[in-house]
Amino acid sequence: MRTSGRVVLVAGQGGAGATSLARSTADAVRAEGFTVLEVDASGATVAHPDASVVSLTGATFGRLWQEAGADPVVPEAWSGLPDVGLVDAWIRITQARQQSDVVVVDAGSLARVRDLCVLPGTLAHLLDAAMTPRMAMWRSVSGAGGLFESLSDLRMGVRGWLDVLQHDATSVRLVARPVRDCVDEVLGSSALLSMLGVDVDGIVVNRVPRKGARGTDGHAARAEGRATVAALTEGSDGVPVWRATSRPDARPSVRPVPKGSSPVALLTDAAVPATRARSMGLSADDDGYRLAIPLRGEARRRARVGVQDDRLVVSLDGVHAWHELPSLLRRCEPLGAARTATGVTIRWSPDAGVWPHRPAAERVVGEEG
Amino acid sequence: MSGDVEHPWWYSGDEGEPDEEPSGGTSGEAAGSASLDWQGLLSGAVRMVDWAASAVVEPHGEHTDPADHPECLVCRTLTLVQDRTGMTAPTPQAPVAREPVPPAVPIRWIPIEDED
Repeated sequence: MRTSGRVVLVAGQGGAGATSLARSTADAVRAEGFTVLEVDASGATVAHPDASVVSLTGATFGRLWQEAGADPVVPEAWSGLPDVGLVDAWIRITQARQQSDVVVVDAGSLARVRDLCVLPGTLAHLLDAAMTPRMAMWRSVSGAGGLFESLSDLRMGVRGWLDVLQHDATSVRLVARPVRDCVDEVLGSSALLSMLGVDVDGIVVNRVPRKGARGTDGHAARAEGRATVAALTEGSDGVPVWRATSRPDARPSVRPVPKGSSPVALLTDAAVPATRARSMGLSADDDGYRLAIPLRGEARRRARVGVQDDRLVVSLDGVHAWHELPSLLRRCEPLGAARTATGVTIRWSPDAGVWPHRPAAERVVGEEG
Repeated sequence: MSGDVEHPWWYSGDEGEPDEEPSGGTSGEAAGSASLDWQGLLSGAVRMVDWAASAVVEPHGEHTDPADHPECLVCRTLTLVQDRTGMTAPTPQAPVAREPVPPAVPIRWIPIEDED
């Protein structure tokens, strides 16, 4: 049985045990007979076997900036460019996905996994905006051969990363320390990832002291752990939260899935529909159209939505996610939006300049007459 | 690259692969190939592009003022355009991509109400 290149990214707060959990997950899945490839994307930049791939991206950005300008991208957007190490990590994840049933990625810190997930969308947007006919002209005038082609290749690659990131078989597991101070950061990360279309399929509160653990403050620590689990459960908007009891020096004891679950159950395609509901939904009524954007947690409460050209923009804490608008809505005007129990719903009306008649309204008037 | 001799695009050269037969030869292949040598045309086109890039475009990249380089085909064209239209000709220091451009389309934020 194959799992369609399932990718699981594991990330956590410093010292929470993300690396241990990633390895335990890989071990457990491997024990079930799957081929597993582990990728360390925790931050140490490892030279890619094909050095030209990495140097290409760095050089490409530099040339784009210095020679052709960032036309017409807002220059500030380039300041948030990811480092080459992230690009390298995504290349390795994409390659590993083609070679095994399951790819377990140790993404390191929460900040790192956020960057990893922001990277493809941001790069795709910048490349789409930068690769204009003007750039093609610049290439022909200046003879800067290779730049346009390099960017084309990069754009194709980035689109591939986006596909992997937002694929149903990709998920993220967040590892938290059992202290309440960590709750906001974990929930914030979960919300941001949901906004980016990435599924967080579990939050693990790790290293909760066991009953009978040594130490004078064992009781207080366990109470703190319980409170942390409760706060995360309350704020996670349906993302399962479970606890693990690993010690830093006993990695195999980390339980990679909730008690009673098979490690494979969470990793196979069969489990996907139960854990995610993130695809946008388009519906229509006599007033126009409604586009439902699924969001979780803080993203549901604080995210902003907007329109830029033919794209929908969802933004949280300064991070934007761009989505192609359904073609039906490209000649419609957004009337407003509302926060719902599952996300944000935007109401749209056909653009009066393009669709001067409203058949539905006329029909109602006729019936009244 | 440094040791290569620059040839104009129309120069067929003498560095053809020894195992290949001369283009448009009389080897008894398809009759059409005798009158229309697609491979020759293609290589000629590629050679023309390469020559144009190396002999015209790249040297022009170092020319700051078109009026100072009457020998340069691009500079002469730009000067001509400038004289006829009064427009400022672009130079490598102010290339097409660095002209003032309209800003990126701003994001139009949609107000959100709380439905709960």
